[in-house]
Amino acid sequence: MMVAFVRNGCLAGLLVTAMAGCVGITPVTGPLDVDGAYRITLGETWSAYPRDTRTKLRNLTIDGDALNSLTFAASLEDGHTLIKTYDRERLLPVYRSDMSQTEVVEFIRDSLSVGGMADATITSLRPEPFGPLEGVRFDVTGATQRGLNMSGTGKAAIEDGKLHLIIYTAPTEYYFELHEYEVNEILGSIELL
Amino acid sequence: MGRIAARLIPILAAMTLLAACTSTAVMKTTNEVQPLERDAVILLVEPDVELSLLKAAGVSEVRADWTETGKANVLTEIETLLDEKGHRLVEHEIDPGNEREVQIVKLHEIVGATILSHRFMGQPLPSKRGKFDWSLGPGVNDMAETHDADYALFLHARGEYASSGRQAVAIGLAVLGAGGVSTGGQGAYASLVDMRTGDIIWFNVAFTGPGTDMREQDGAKHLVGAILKDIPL
Amino acid sequence: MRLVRLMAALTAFAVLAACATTDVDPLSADMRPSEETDEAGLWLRMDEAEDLLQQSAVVVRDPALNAYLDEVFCNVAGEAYCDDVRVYIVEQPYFNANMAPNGMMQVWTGLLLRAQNEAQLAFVLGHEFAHYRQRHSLEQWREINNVANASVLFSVGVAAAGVPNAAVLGNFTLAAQLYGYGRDKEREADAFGFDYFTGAGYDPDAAAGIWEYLIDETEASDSERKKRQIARASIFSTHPVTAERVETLRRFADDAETGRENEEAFAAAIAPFLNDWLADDLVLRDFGQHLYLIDHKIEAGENLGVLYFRRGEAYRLRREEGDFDRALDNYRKAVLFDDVPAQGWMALGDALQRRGENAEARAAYGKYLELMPDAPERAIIEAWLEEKE
Repeated sequence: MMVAFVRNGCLAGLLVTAMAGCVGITPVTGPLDVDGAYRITLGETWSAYPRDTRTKLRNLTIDGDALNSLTFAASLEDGHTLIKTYDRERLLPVYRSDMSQTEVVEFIRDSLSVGGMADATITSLRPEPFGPLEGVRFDVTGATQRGLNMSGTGKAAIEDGKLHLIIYTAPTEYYFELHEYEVNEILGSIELL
Repeated sequence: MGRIAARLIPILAAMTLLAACTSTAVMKTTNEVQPLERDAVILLVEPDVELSLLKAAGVSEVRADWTETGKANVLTEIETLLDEKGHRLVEHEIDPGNEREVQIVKLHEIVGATILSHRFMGQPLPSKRGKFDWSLGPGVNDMAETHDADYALFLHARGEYASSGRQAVAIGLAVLGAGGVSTGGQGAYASLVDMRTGDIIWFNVAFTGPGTDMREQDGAKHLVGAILKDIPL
Repeated sequence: MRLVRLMAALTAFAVLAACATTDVDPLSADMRPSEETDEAGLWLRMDEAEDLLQQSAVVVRDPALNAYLDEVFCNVAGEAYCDDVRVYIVEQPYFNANMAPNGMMQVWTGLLLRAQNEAQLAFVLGHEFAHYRQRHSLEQWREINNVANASVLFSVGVAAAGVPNAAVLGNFTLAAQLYGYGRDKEREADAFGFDYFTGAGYDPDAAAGIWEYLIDETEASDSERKKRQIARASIFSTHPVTAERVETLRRFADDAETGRENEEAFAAAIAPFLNDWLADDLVLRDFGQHLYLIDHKIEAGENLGVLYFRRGEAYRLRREEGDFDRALDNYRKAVLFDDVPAQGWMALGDALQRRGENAEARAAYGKYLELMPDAPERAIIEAWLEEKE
């Protein structure tokens, strides 16, 4: 029974992604505008998935989204959640416009936990400019549920109560370092629009 | 090991098997590979084999006895095939206490699933256009050291064999004009990792139809022949 | 529509029929199924799931806590079966325990967080052991195969969907979800579990007690759905708790001799993890249920530094009218106790800073950095201290 259930779920999932794939994955490089709020500059060619209309998250990858995933969002409003769920009643971590920098990072960490990262732990937080804004830079570690260690880094800032964020995650083994230089360059390239 | 990707095997098999015969899809690295100056030592990393009985309702039930037989047959065939080419195969059990090895195997799981879903399933990543450069990275060196290995071979195989009830359902539905009910088959994917770089230098997905059976030595030979097709050794 | 109803009736009938024919003898100690059987297949798959679980990031590996659970399990199951079952502590905030046919038992930290004494834990372990010994998984597997009906698969699937997060958990947990049992098996496991744990000298009231607490806590939930689920008696889809089951356990207890609770031993065993597990629970953002749990523990009067700190955290995140003040009050109380986590000082500093009480905030941050020289927030705090210089 387990197999049958898992397989059906899997098949449905594959069909959905396969269909999404047909419409969506595009190459991006150079300057990229994020929802009219800020611009980043990519050095390498990334594959971009379409922006999720519910979470407003946009996802880029080079080697596959389980191997490196660069996630952006811009101008998220009070009450926003980063988790996509079809269960409208589900209680979730929610962004509040009066959050401190530490709380914003806590919100990101808890969202990663709910999204399936085990042991999501913030290992460092420090002030770092987000373009001209006062931003917060953070590093995170965790693991997949199956035990593959993951590392991440990212940056966030609040502009007029609205949240901008960039999160990069990759397996700690090999893949995180593989594009770390590129990711640092991207995080340093932010310009407000 | 490799269950995420291994779970895809029956689906892929079902899709390919509509064509019924043996099919393979070999992919080779686009990175530069240094030639090896000697006969190779190849680590076979805990082959993941699972054979099941496919029942009338489409429920598959793992059979411990078939799995054991199938695994032994496949091992013998791989060993024979590589031996003929002058290489030495070393079976390698993962030590759960060796954190690094466990991480490498789990990374391979994800990389394998990524390759299957972006290369084999036809949902290509534009960032990988013209490239096949997936790697596990130099962390594999630790694993290679113990046996002074040159390559690691990862193998995941699944077999499903229909019960007589299941075959009846398939035939019955075929009569009604509904095709595509799987009556089982065998599928596998394998990857060869260059232990000097961690690069996956060769990757293959193979399926053989319901007529072959890895529970028998001949069936195993057929599957292994298909799965190791064009292996650059 | 009539056809649908007819099919449902036939299915129900088939299920009943199947139940009658799938009864198996209990497992004797140290027994493994022989290779060619369907049971061996179930074990093989669960052996693989167990390998995965052992390597996963969610297993709590602390030797002392594991030794404690093993000891309680052995008290309940008796020496003969002691080594046949492996108890894994899984860091998941939900109330859950489950048993795979091969002897892999999972106890989730959300259960340990909510049990109030060793006797309650012992009852749960006894109940799960009964599933193992009575080979309920095998019976269930055969029932499903006998019926071979998609509606059965569907209901099993729904059982898994009942636990939030099932989709993101690895398949070892998913597998466990799918081994939810029907009511007959739950009743049988209750009856055997009750005998095992009272036989080991535990307090018989604990059996009904753990469910009664849980129902009360769930009533405090922010989730309307969870509350509706109590009404439908299906809070825990893998272990449907019905009023009838709780009553039966109550009645068993009335006829049983009194026994020990071991409240102190239990509290001491989980104390080192209380802060982490409550943090996991808060990620679920069910403030009503979370605060009920903390209040209940505060009443017991132990670990107050941790508990006041965690209550402050819950109020800070909830952000209802007056919650910032409540949070500050709780942080102030928390730091009066020796067991306050270092983060309590950080939280106190943040709360004071929010109110503009900068001198006091400075002192709290100072204390935090003194306790945690490698604090991840050091750069943020130092930047603030400098700015307010």
